[in-house]
Amino acid sequence: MEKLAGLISANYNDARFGKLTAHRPIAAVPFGSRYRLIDFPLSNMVNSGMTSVGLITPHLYRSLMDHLGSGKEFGLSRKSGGLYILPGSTYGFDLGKGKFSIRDCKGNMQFFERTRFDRLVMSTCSKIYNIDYRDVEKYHLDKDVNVTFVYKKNMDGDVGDIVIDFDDRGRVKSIRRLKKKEKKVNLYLDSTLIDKNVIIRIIDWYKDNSYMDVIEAIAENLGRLSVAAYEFTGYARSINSVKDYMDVSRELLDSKVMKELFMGDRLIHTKIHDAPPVKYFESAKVKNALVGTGSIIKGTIENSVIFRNTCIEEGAKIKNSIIMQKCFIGAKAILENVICEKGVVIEDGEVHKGTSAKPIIISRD
Amino acid sequence: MQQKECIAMLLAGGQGSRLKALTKRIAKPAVSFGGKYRIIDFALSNCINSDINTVGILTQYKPYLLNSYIGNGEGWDLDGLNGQVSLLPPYFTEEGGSWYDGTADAIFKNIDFIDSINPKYVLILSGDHLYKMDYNEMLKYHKKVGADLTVSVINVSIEEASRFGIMSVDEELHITKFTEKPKKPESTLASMGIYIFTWSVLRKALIEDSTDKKSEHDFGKNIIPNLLKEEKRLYAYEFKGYWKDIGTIDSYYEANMDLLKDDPHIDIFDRDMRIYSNSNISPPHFVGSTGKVEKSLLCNGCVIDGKVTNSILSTNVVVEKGAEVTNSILLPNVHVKAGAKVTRAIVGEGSVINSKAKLGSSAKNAEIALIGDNEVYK
Repeated sequence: MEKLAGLISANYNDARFGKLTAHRPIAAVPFGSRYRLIDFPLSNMVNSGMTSVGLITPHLYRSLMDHLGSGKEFGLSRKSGGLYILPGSTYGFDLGKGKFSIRDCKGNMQFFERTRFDRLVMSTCSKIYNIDYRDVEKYHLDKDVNVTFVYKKNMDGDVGDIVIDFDDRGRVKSIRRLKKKEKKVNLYLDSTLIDKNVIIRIIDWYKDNSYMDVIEAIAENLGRLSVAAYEFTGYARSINSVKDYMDVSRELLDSKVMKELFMGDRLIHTKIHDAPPVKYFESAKVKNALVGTGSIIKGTIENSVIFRNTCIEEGAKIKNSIIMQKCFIGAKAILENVICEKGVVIEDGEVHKGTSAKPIIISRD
Repeated sequence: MQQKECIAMLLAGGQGSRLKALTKRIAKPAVSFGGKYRIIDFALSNCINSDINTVGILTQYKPYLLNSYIGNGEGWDLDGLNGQVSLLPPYFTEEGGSWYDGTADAIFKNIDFIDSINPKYVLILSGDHLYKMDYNEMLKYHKKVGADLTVSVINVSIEEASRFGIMSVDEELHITKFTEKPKKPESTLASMGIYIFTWSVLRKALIEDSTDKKSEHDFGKNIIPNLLKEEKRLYAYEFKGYWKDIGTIDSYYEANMDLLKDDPHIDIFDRDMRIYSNSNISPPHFVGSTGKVEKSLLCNGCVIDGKVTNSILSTNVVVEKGAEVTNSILLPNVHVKAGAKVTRAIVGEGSVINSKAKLGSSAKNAEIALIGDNEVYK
């Protein structure tokens, strides 16, 4: 039987995440009341029937390991296959651009050699969407190509994102970095399906230029490879900065987005905390909000995303904000356009107001 | 392997017919409770919170959902290196097959299972009681007084006493008399159906009872009176906390609604004696711009565009725009369509309340409206 395996790179960072990535990699940024960004690529992979997934770890990987454990919640704690933790390189990595370095692949050649698979899906953790990679694989086989990129039409990107250009006959002409102020492009969704022998060959060709990104290496060799691009038509967003994070979090409050991402046939998996249900008291007022389990709500919440095990006291008002796990919001506190990091305590009556373009991040230190 | 000091045998085979439509499809211990839980979670969580990591679960009545819910016990951390959960249904032997005929018979038929573990003590539990208890304290007591059997008891009012098995004790809590549902109770110490037996004593008593043709093979009616007759050391252990036998629709409703109080009898938020469950994956719940939630418990996967007041909504419940849910308990996957009104009702798993339908009444003394699983209410 032909097999599809997954490989996720979490070994990259971006200064635009500010304090959100001070103590955690981008992959472990909490998102949507109970998830972390890595849950999306990883769930997409296991929901597409993959039973072997490699994860290239970043430097600060404690939170990531704590979240993933043995991969049990993703069905990856198995005898055959499973979740492979692949240590990423820590020095000399160009933090500005690449997300998927040849060096990190090269350093983990055993994964490519020993894992049983015929084709590989390579993904990062910076894009939010819900996809069935089996559809991509079908397209890949129909087109009879070595490499298939996943992209979305008419999307706005950001510095560091990758754009796919097509020629008149609809073939992939070039793969390049997004230019400044460029809008409505064919945005690469950071997922590539590639034949096993081809990825192994590319790693070998570039082993001496190992700082390069796998995608750049493929881009340089478009003529030598047969390449196609699969158009994803569902909801997809990039998260490259605090602003993106805030914007996409707010979009989750659109029930259409919510239903497509989380309530279809392919569920997004995550670490289970087994917290009690959310308890709303008589004084609670809630409107347009996602609320994670284990929370105790006595105050007012509007247009906000509340994570697990938070406590919002009476008279507190939370608007357009993101309150992460285990926060305590004291009575009559007012928070607007704020991101409260994990475990933050807001005293009674405190007031914090940011703007939607520039949210305030409140962290413990 | 290290010898196990104590294992638990959990009786989960009862039908619970007084819960009517709620147990039409599933065994009583598997009935949803308090939003995300099922009734059996309390006994199983008590076990792991008391360091008892080997649990035999005796199933008989409609076991499919119960079995799949319990799985290998990992939801309660009962799948550790030394622990296990074993589902023990009735089985066939060379002498033929038979159902579990009484609580004692169910344990008797699993002597092989208990022998294979060879514990010193066996804790007998019911899967349909609601309480938080550290069984270890009771076991310590059992060892301290050198009992053959310790019965956990709770002080009830004299009016209630005739519903229970009632114990008469001396000053040292040594049991002198045990009467099942006495008309004229001599004491108010009621058995909670929680027993710790010294295994060798129980083993012998079960074998003797199995050959007694007149016996109903019941712990309360046969085993305990027999041990008393034999002058074994029977002690009462007084439990001071909250304990509720979820026997009827009314008691099920009350026990659920108690969780909505500011200071409920059972604290599901307490991290020290956590109540575990086998959670399924669902997204966080979502309250839309027309949604309103007051004094309620909401689980993952709910989508609320209507009004929810003083209610408990289990996983993946949908309340559409204009719908009102008041003083009600909605079990997993219930869908309340636009404009419907649900008042003082219990709605079973997967049921649909049609648009503009009216279920239940807020009138005083009105009976609790009850809809079973997978029904459509028009």
